Order: sequence, then structure tokens, then C-alpha cells
Amino acid sequence: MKAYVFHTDTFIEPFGDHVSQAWVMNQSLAECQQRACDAAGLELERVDDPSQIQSFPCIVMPDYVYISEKALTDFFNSAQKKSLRNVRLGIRLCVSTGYCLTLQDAEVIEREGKDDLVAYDVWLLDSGPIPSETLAIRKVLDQRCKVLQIHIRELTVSVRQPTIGHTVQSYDFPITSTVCCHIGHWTHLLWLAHLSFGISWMELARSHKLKTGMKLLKAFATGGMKKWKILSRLNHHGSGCDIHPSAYLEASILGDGVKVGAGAVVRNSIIGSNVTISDHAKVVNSVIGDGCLLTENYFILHSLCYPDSVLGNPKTQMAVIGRDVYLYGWTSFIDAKFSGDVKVMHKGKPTSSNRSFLACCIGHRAVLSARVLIAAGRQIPNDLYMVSRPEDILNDIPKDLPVNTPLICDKGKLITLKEFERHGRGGDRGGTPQDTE
Amino acid sequence: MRAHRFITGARIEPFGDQVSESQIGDSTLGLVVTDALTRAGFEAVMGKASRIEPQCLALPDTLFVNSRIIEEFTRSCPKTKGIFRLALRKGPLTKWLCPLADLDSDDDSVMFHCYMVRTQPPRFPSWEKLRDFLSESSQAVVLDPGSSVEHVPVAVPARNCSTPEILLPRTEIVAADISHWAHLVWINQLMPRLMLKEHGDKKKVDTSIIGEKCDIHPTALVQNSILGDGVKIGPFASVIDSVLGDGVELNENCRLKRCCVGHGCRTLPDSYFIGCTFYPGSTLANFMLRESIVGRQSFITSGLVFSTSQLDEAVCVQINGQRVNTGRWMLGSAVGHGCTLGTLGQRGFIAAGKEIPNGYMIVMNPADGLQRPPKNPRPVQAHMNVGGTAIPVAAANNGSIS
Repeated sequence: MKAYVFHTDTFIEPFGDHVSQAWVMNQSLAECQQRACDAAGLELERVDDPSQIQSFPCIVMPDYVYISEKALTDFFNSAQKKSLRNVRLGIRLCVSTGYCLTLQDAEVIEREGKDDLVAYDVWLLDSGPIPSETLAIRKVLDQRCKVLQIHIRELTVSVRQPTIGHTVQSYDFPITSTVCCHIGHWTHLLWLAHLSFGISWMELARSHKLKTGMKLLKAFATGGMKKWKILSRLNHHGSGCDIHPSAYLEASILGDGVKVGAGAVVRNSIIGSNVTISDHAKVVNSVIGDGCLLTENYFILHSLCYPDSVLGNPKTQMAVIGRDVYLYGWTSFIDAKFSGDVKVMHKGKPTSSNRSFLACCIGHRAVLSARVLIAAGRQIPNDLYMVSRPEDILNDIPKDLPVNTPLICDKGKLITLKEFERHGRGGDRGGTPQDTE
Repeated sequence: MRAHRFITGARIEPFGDQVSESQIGDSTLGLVVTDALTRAGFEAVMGKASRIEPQCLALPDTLFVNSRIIEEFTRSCPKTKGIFRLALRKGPLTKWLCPLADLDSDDDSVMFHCYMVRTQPPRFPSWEKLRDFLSESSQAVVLDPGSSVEHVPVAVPARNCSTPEILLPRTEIVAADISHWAHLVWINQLMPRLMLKEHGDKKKVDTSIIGEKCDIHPTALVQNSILGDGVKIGPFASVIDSVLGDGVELNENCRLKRCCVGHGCRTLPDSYFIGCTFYPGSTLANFMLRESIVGRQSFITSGLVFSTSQLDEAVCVQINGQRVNTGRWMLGSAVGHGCTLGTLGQRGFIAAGKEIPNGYMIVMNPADGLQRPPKNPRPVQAHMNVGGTAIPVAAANNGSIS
């Protein structure tokens, strides 16, 4: 049976990339769709327009849908088993589905007595014709199709967050391998990166059954039933990796040629090929693309990084970083709001993202240099070259100032404290509302 | 045979010290070179330009050499009469050490003012005149330090930089002319390897040399380093490719890589130093300090940020009031003796390639810190620091203030 993926004009801001180039699970979305179809035994064909679909019965989805191998396989198999035609994919509303739901335009069907169902744009059809526009497709196919629910199994890991006020005090990270998501915003890429830990491990285990089984056995044999000892042995790395003996890897998947330096910590992460993780860097729950360089003492948590970036600021949490980005020296992101939700730009308007813990998205080829501070939820456009203000940089150090007396930096020049006080305060240094934008 | 070291009177800014007092490894340039000459079989004496007799070696006090290069130079000089001059083939080593140095060079070698004198030169009143005579009448003997390098990837935000990594030369022979603090930063990154090659035990995998009465916590990592006597290393510290003098105390979580630390220095917890040189007796802390040099008895806090690169060009330093390009994409700053450096505020930092003169004390701008907390703030009212006072934020600033 064939699976048709039809083209839509969906672009991800701020990258400006078409959605099929979005980076999910360390591959582009197009490659992920290919992988899912291969696993389900379907032949993938891309069409520009749904009306070009000729061979029925078939599976139809627009190109902004991400679907994991297990979800597609389960949907297809259960439809075959129950001999159903004209069905639409549905998954019950649980922590995993609710995780990505914000800003998606998937339909939530409320049911009495049972969990609500989320219906995605994946259809199994037995006859055409199919109209050309997505909105029309939904209307037409809704009349024809029923929603087929597939089973989802999930685990949640609860992580405590420092927030005040009435927002959630702990953050639930779901681990599951049945995932479907409509990608339309950069936050969806971030949520998928968090879910990709569960998906990747399950997909890896299914494709290398024997190897994973041996690893698990060995982990149990050497570690007993202690959770951390087992996790620290559950790593998968490609060929040519150069890992320092004092580095600590836990439940991570590394690509080929990864260099991990002394004292580095890599936990629950997916690292691409040829990534260099320098000494004492700590990567937790993140997806790092191919060819990145993470500098010394770098701390990245819960983030997504496209290939070929150079990351060098002290701490990054909950951020999406584009291709070829230089994050340099003491760039900081504000990643939490004490009261209220972080607002993101969606279709030109600030919309709530339903989260109080979210940092920004940095476009491709941006360069952010020393001591730049970015507020939460913002999106940095491509090619932004942001530097510090000249008055903050101490450039002019005169050689004839008195020794052992207090000196301060005023507008880039070093002067004595007495002289500063004599001439009055030199402009707004503490920050006004415009300054914190 | 004698080796005459001539005092040129050169001083290293910003310290103002004689060049022989500069910090190399865990001791001074004068002592290190004298020791190298002695090991190579020469008797090191202070040079007098009017009293040179063949056969001897003549070199200024700004020249750094190690014993291997002197031995190889002696071996490679032809056995005839004449005056021979030390030269190094151009390669990674000369690229590493020669920027900012005033050296003669031709197409494929760099020539130093180190002469093997085998004919009696005329009597001159000063080193400068003797040197000019020797450089005109000498024949260069070119030694090859090899082209083996170690690639160290660095993060440099320069879009027109074609080599975004440091190429650290691996060699057994080194000669360098020390006339600027940047030379000290560069030569001290090579010193740990050189010292280990001369004194270390080649049979062991980890060739660290640890002095007596050292107190090293079991969780600390010491790799390919030389530690003096009485060194204290705290928990989870890591010392890689470094030289620590006697009595150095590293607090917990302190990380050193390719550093030379003078005796009696202390570091505060959670510091990270890469490629730095510290004179004796300083107290140091920083979240990340690269390629910098700090003088005696100075105090650096972690509130101060040293930038190590300039926008889209190599780092430039000031020599005699003129801006000179070092050709290096990553270089820190020099801090003089006895400085006390506090913080420059939340957004401030020191540009790359600067010198802070001896004795300066840098403190926070009074407007940057919260000096006057409010007396009776309402519980959920957000406040901001404006000029040192906390004042309530104007309401209805939806979404832009976190």
C-alpha cells in the first residue's frame, strides 16, 4: 500500500525553512516520514497536490505531520486487522499528546466518560477524489471518516521547577514511542526533541534487538537493580568515538566520530555525528545536531540544536538553536516567567504557549556575542549579529591613574570613583523598561 | 664552554619587571634559561660585551631556549671557525611564538640573536653593537622543530576566520624572543610538555610529576602535569597539562588546562582557567579565563569577565601607543602586580588584548548594584534597579518583563 505525503506551504518561523526541513530527532522531517513509512511497510510517495493521488486504498497525510514509527505501524495494522477503511488517526489525550498540543491545529474531540481524543491529519482512505486545500480536505474527509484510536503507553518523569505563583510546580516529561504531531511552530520542534528520547530508544531497540538485549542483560548483571547503574550502561555510540575515561554517559545515543572531553556529562541525550563536547560540558536531555562544537563548561538542558553550531555560553535551557549559530561568552537566556505564561509569536500575534519554562529560538547563522541577554519566548531572526554596547566594554585603560584607589568603568573608560561622583551619575546604568526588551 | 647572557634592559609591560624575572613554568626566565644552558654543558655567565672570547655562546636575556635546542645547535654548527646564528625553520612553532617579536627572517626561517662564536670578535662597548656585528658576520644554522601539532577546537565568533582552532605545536626544541606579555602567555602553554619531556618518566602512561607532601583529593583529576611541593587540590578539581608551583591551593571544582601557576597562589571554588599564566602569590577566581596573565599578589574575582576575541578580526594589542595585530583569534588580557579586580557590573567586560597596570583596583559602578533596597515593598509588586535604588515597575507591561 502506498503512503502519500502532499505538499503544503508551511514554513517555520524564524528559520524561514519549509517544514520538511525541520530538524526532528536529528534528521529532517522528510527523512523521519520516510523512516516511519519504511517501518510500517508502506511505500512513500510525495505529491504536490492531494488531487494527484491515484492509487487507492492509501494513507494520506500533509507534509507537516510528524509521526513515529510505532504510531504509524499501529494505525496501519489495527486498520487492517479490523478491516476498516476511511479512518483517521486518533490518540487519547494524555501527558504525551497534551505535551505538544499547544499551537497545533489538531482537533480535540471530547468524549463523555472516557479521555478526550486528539484526531490528527493522517487518513487511511479507500477511494478518492480528494480536494486540494487542507481545510477542504478536513471537511470532506470528516464526513467520510471515523476516528480510529490507537493505544498509547507512556511513562512520565516529574521534574521539579522553580516557579512561584499558581503555575505548575513540577514539570512532567513523558517517555513514549507513540507520537504524532503537526509541526507549525518552533516550540513543536522543542517538544518533539524532549519526546525524542523515548522514541529513539524504542526505535533503536526494535532495529537492533539482539544488541540491545545484550546491553540490558549486561547492565543488569553488573549493576543489579540499581536504576542509575543500569542507565549508565545503556549507551549506544557509533564508530570512531573518542570518549575520555572520566566522562559520564547515561542513557544516551551518540553518532559516529563524537569526541567527549574530560569530566563531561551526557545524560538522556541524542548527539549527532562529529560533535565535539569539550571538557566538563554537561548535556542533559538534549538533541545536538551533527558537527556542533560545545565549549568547555557548557551546560545544555532540554534543548534542541541544529547542525554546525558553536555553543559557548554558560547555560542553555529549553531553547531551539539554529544552524551555524555562534553563541559566545556569557550570552544568557531568560527561560522562566515567575507569574503567567511565556508568550511566543504565532502567526504574527503574541500567543500564550501554555508553559512557564521556555527560552527563545535562535535563527540560523546568528552570532550573539558577550553578555547579551534575551527574554523568554522570543525568536531571534536569521543572520542576526548582536554585540554588546560599546559603553559596557572596558576598552580604554589609562596608565596614569592612581594605584590602590577605587576605579570604575564609565562608558568604556576607566576613571576614579571620585571623579565619577563629582561629575554626577553617568546615564541610566541600572536599566529602564526599554533596556530589558 | 661559556654561555654569555647579556642584559638588554628590556622590560615587560605592564609589570615593569626586567625580562629575566618573567614567569616561565614555575620559576623565572633567568633561572630556566641558565638551567637549560647548564644542562647542555655550558657555563652560564653574565655577559660583558668587551670580554667575549671564543669558543662561546652569546645570547640576550630576552631569549628563551631549552636545553635540547642548545645541544642540537652545538651539534649542527660546522666545526670550522666562524660565527653561527641560531635559526628555526618556519612552521607551527614559529607561528605560535613569533607574532609581535622583532626578529629577522627570510623566506623559510626565523633567525634569533643566539650566536656560537668561534672567532674572536672586535671589542664593543655594548651588547647592541656586538649584536649588530655578529648578525652581519654570522652564518645561519637552521634547525627544524617539526610540524607536528595538536588541534584544539575553539569557539571564535568571526565569520572570516579560516582557522577556528588553536594549533598547538608539539616539539622538543623551542626558542623564543620574549618582549611582550603575549609571548609569556604563548610560551607557558608549551612549558608543561617541555618540562615533562625533560624530567618525566617516559615509561608511564600518565607522566605527571608530583612533589612531596601534596594533598590531592581522590576525586581530583591530575593528568600530564607537574606539581610542586605542598600542593593542595580540592574535590573534583582537574589539572591537565599544567605546571603548579610549591604551595598552590586549588579549591574544589577548579579546572586548569595548559596553565602555569606560580608558587603560593590560591584559587577560589568553581574556577576554570585555560592557557593562563599566574605569577606567585595571587588569589584567583573566574568562571572562564582564557589566555591571560596575572601578576604577583593580585586578586581577581569571578565577577569580572575577560573577553578573548574581537569582532571579526584578530586580537590587537597596544605597543607604544600603536595598535598591533597579533594574528591570533583568541587572546586575553594582562593584569599587573598587586591589582584588585572586582566586577564591572552585569553587562560589563574587559575587551581582549588589554593591559591593566600594576596596583589598579577596579570596583563596581555604584549604579549597577542594588544599594538601597525599598523599605516596605508590597508582596507581589515587581521592582527594578534604577541607579542603585529598587523602584516598582510601572504596571501593565504585559509580557515584556519576566
